[in-house]
Amino acid sequence: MGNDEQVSQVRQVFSLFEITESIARMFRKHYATPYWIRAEISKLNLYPHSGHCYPDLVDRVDGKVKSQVRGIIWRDDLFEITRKFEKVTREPLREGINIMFLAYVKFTSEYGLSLQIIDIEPLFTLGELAKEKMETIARLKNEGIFNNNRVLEMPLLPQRLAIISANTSKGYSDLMVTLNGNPYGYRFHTRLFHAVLQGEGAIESIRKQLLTIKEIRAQFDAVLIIRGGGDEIGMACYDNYILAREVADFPLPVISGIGHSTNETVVEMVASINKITPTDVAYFLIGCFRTFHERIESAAHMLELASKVILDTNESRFKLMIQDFIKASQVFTNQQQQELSFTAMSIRDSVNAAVFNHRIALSRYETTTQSGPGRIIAQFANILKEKEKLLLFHNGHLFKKHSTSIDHIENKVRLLDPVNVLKRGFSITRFKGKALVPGINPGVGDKLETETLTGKIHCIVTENQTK
Amino acid sequence: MSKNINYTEAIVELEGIVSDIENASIGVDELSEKVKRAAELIKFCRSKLTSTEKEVNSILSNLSTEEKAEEKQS
Repeated sequence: MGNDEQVSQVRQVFSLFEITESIARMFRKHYATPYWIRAEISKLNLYPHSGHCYPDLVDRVDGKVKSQVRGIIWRDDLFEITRKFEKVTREPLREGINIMFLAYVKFTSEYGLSLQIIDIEPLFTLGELAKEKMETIARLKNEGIFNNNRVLEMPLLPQRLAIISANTSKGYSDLMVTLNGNPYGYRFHTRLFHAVLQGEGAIESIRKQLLTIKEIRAQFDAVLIIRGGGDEIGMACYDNYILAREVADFPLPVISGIGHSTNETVVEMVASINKITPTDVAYFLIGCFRTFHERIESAAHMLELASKVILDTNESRFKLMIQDFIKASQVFTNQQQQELSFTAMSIRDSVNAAVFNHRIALSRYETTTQSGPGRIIAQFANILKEKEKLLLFHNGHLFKKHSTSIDHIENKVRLLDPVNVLKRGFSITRFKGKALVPGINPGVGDKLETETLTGKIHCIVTENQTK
Repeated sequence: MSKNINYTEAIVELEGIVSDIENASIGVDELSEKVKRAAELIKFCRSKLTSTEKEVNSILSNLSTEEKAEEKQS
């Protein structure tokens, strides 16, 4: 470009407006017809007051923005485009989605380059969303956590419930009315964790509450994600990988009831239990209680029956035993009584026999005592008779013998009789009645008696010359 | 006669006397005394036997009455 002077000499200076008008003319000439363009809405920039929308459109390659242009959707176009878009995609026009749109490439002096969007092909976005959903599923499956929540065991009584919902939502209200109005009187302990439930903000809102619940998970049996009553636009958040991953890998069973009529979202796929409507969720929970209740009642019934059977069996056994016992004791006592009777009889017999024997013996002794003395006396009498006989027998001899000796003695006696001596003139002198044999020596003056054959002569001793 | 005598002593004494009488190993002098004693002993033993028999029968019949009474009670 030469030096400054040259430049100033040849320099043609345009006002900004001239330049921009020039560009604008060029754009009008070359970009007179609209083009179909693919881009991502990075920012929606909807101005509710005017009703116009100025989305930031970007094109990313590997996540980096390679191109960025501001878009414009005028209010009238926006209304029609949104209606069509939401009808097909069930998603609102929002940040982060890819759209294929028909736009005029415009350049105005005032606003510069912009793309005036006059139409959006919702099928493209639908495909993009489906692609995102497929990607989410594939990632979760690759990571091996797709079924993690589904294989968690549902507690027998899911009673303590962490509910992620909005207290203004009809779904939450339906759930609570159905839960608390259950006809069996089951009590549920619920705690609401307020969250945005649809649209782009829902992902982070729900995730944040899931993280909160995870910290105090010991207080809960299950987590409910409840939505319903509003329109069904903005459900793509439930296909989001981050949210779906949090649900899939959540340590408590997640029960989803996000109420919509479109295809099942990934969150619903990975949730432990999915029911379409919050009311169905409530019925499911009541059903769990009912099942448990019925199990307990059935068990109680079974227990009752079993106990009754056992008791009846034992009672009849016991009755039989009592009867057997009574019979046995009767038999036993009868036997014992018989034995006792026998024993008594045998005692009586023995006593009678003994008494009889003793009686016989006594009779015998009596006989002996009666007859014995007679016999003894007779014996003695016999002996006496014998003696008498003997005496009689021997008497003759003895008598003769004795009489002979008596004769001799008589002769002797006769010969010795002092009379015969006296006859021969001898006399017997006695002193004090005794014959004067040697030794008897009377003194002078003693009186003596002299017997003679004819009589006695009394003498007095005058002299004694015996020596 | 001594009242303290029992049946066994009585029968032993009686048997002694009877044996003496049977064997005639008894003198005439003590004969009447012994016979008198024997008669006493026989009388004693007999009454003892009779009373014992009666008593036993009475006890045994009481026993069977008690049995019946117990049966009725049960």
